[in-house]
Amino acid sequence: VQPTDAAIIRASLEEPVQFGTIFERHWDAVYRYAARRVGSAVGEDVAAEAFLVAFMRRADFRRDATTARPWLLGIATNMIRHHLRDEQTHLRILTSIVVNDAPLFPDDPERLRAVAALPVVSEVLATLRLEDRDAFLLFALADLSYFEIALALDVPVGTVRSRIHRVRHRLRERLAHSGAIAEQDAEG
Amino acid sequence: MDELQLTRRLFAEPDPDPEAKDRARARLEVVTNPAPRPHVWHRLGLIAAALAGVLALQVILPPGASGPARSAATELRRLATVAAGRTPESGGLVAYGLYEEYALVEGQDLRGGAPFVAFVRRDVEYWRHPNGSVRSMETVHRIDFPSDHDRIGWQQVGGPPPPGEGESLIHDLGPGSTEFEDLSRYPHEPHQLLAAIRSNLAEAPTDDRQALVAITWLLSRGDADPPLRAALFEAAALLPAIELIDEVSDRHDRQGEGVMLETESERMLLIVDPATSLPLGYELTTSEGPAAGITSWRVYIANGRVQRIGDVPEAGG
Repeated sequence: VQPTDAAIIRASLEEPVQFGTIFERHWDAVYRYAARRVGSAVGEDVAAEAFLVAFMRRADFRRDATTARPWLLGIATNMIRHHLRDEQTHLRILTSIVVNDAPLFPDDPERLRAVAALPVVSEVLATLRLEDRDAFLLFALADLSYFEIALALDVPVGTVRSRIHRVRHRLRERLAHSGAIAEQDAEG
Repeated sequence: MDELQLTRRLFAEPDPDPEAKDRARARLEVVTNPAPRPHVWHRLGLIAAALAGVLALQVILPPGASGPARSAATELRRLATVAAGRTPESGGLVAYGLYEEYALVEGQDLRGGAPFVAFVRRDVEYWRHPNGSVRSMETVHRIDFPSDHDRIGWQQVGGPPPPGEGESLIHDLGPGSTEFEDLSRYPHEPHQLLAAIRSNLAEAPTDDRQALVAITWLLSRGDADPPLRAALFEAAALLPAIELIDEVSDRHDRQGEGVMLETESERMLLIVDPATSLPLGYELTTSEGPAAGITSWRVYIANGRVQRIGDVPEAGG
């Protein structure tokens, strides 16, 4: 039986080198999430610094938590807030890439519809309140549950639920308005 | 395709990057797995062995011959010779400098706010007039906060948001700035010079790491003349725990040699161009406190003397 993250983090208070196991377990998830939000270059820096910050704050890690992933992703999310300009630039680049890719698959109507919808998604995300965007992207990109997002952002689960609901509703509304998805889907 | 799928589609998965992971692991290991320090008795044994070796060499070698090992103190004295032989900076009476840094800023709202730390990535260009007045132009690229708690602390003391790209803040300081002090107050005898530098470290006059930071700053000053720069290297050679690292590179990948001072919790690395004796920059890492594991650094880009405030030296200094 492998020790839990909480046990390893506790042990690392006495023996710092133990924290390396936390890095090995969770680097991929933290890096993927950060790189998806701000691009791979800045994402690498964000993820690396998130582990350094986590190491120096490891005494604050909740003893009853089984996995450190939400905690680490919460730290990375805070660090991404320092790179808002990078995130906006990254969003613009992503949008331009997918739109420019459209001619590559002219016979695939599903993909063409998706390409048409992506600028709408990008525009909505770019104008969201920070706390709403963070909650939604932890849900969409990092596959955290509402409970885990609440741990990551240190807010009640109900707050997470309403933030994500707000974003999804707004996205559906705008996508329906643009014709990218059907009206009945927007009501779902 | 619903809004969740579209979002995942927009933010495509990055390609796996094992090198990114290796780099991040190396950064983390600086604090989780620092280089082992020999046990004190082990060290005493090493010192005894070294002394025995020196005595043996003195017996075998003729007077004046030296062994093959190059100590940090020896190299610092060689740098002092190089510095002393350099032509004094010409071009005017105004000292000029330009550096890039990632600096730790600590603060607290004295009306009762919590202490905070921030890391500021900025470029600083300065001009010091002979009358002591200083103009500095600061371009802030980024401010990082280890936590929201630190961000709130920063805002409570009125810390500004990062300015827009390319925007700069200009500070005009009157004579008397402690950071840009008059260098003529410093003696050129190394022991006296080190004592004068230590006397400036009001809170920790015995802290060798802080003394090395102060020496580095003085070495970088555009108005430090060759005799003072030579004396600064001689003073650094007096710091007992100084170590030499043969090959290091700075944040601009400029090759140099490292002069390192390491304690249980901190490591200060001064990077010097061995050919010119000019400081290239420094890196400072601590494993304790709110800044643990984050390396603050500075890279000296240019220095020299110019005619007027606002001028820059020819060929970048």
